Amino acid sequence: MTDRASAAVEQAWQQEWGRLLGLLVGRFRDVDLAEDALADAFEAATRTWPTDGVPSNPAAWLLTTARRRALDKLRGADTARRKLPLLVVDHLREEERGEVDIDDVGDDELKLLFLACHPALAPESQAALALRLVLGIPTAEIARLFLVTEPTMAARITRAKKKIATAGLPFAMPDDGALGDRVEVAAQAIYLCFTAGYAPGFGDAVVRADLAGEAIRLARLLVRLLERRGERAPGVVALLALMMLQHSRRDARVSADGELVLLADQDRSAWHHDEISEGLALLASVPATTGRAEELRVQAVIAARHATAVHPDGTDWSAIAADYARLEQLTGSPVVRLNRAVAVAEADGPRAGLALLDGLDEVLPLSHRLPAVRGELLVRAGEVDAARAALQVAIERCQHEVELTYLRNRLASL
Amino acid sequence: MKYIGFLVSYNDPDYSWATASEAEQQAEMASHGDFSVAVSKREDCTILGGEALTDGDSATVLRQVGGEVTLTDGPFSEATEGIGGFYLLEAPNIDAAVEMFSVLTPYVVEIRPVDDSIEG
Repeated sequence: MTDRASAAVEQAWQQEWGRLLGLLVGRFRDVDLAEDALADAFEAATRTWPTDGVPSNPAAWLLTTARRRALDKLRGADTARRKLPLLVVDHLREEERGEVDIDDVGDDELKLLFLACHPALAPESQAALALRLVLGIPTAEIARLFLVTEPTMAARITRAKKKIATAGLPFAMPDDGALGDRVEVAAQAIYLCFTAGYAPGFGDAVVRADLAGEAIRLARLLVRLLERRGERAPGVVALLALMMLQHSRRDARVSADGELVLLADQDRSAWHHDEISEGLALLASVPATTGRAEELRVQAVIAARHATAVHPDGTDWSAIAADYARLEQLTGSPVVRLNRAVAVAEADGPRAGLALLDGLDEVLPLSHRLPAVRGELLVRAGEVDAARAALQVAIERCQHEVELTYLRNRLASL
Repeated sequence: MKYIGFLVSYNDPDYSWATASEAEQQAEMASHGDFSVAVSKREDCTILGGEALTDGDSATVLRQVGGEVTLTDGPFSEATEGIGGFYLLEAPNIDAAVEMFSVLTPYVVEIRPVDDSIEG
């Protein structure tokens, strides 16, 4: 294949998959049929574009080809294979639409995202389906990103698709009254992708950063599609800002030997400063609000304070401690309190931080981060024996290789 | 589509019909009236049926092994013990069904689509 043709196919896959699949699902009311037909169209593009040349409108070519393939499949013996009922779609649009028009995008891509992120599906299925249907990421790749085997991920996706059809999850825009809630569910699914990318857990840091990058693509798309409808979604914009600010540090988080590098020790020139600028601009556009959107906004504010400190010593820890106090008030989360304790220790000394850890052991009995933080603060308070004991507990609980190495080194250094 | 809504439990775990005050019982009954009104207001939804059930103590399980009928006293499983009733609802999609069943505020409702593929 010529480089130009190959690049065109790749670009179309990256940029057009969700839009084209949305149009096909709206027309044929069958997710599997639409996916198969579109995959066939891309396969045909891979074969013919190198010899016939890249069409002037690649997306239109792919749509026409996919539509023909779908009609062939419907006419052929394949019809008998239909195991699932047709999707429920908005009747009005279904009647309006005889042919599929490439420019008649409507809200089909957004409907596809809402279908994937329907609250009747399990959150982990929503996340996987969004990656697969909207971004066109193959199942094998999604399995790799979520660190499960391909058969496990395939079964999860098949089960979710079956529920979509049999339980009547609609391919439709939510009612105006429900739109806010549905946007929030979609944002949660996207955030689940992102946190799975950065969660302390098993696995390879580079793979995890890929997943976080895909979550950012989804959030960017959701913001764009909602804005096109004139909908403001401060929660999603705050989420996008938060993810971009955190993700901008990916190359500095892990050393060349794969060891975790703490924020204070990171090479700040390795941060992606263009992404930080974009994250800050997004954040500046979100007014203070309420509920889940406000939680995300405050988290993004904290990330922004770290991202704008040229040197770790210049970090405004008092402001961050106040942000965490606000976030704790909003969420009541013990994990937030733990983070707040770290910020307070930086601002007001280790004893002030240690005082905030009181009572957390009962609510975070399995956390390795709690004893790790306690150990670190005890070291700074000069209580080395107590610090050793706390770090030992942290090491026993920690299952993340990179963090474990860090904790062992810290203990050995005392 | 047809959906069955099983009223599997109360949202308030401390509530029970037997120990509820008269006012509480009336409020519970009123939610069924509200449900009926809400469904009747939508052209695309219809209540096709629905009944209250006696409690699990009065259940009888019938089994047949090798042509022999055996009966067991009590509900089939703990999960079915709590089902207090059900509605069969015609609705265009799950979102409409959720909207309608959410009018029945006292109950945890398991919504199951009817399998049309084995009809007729």
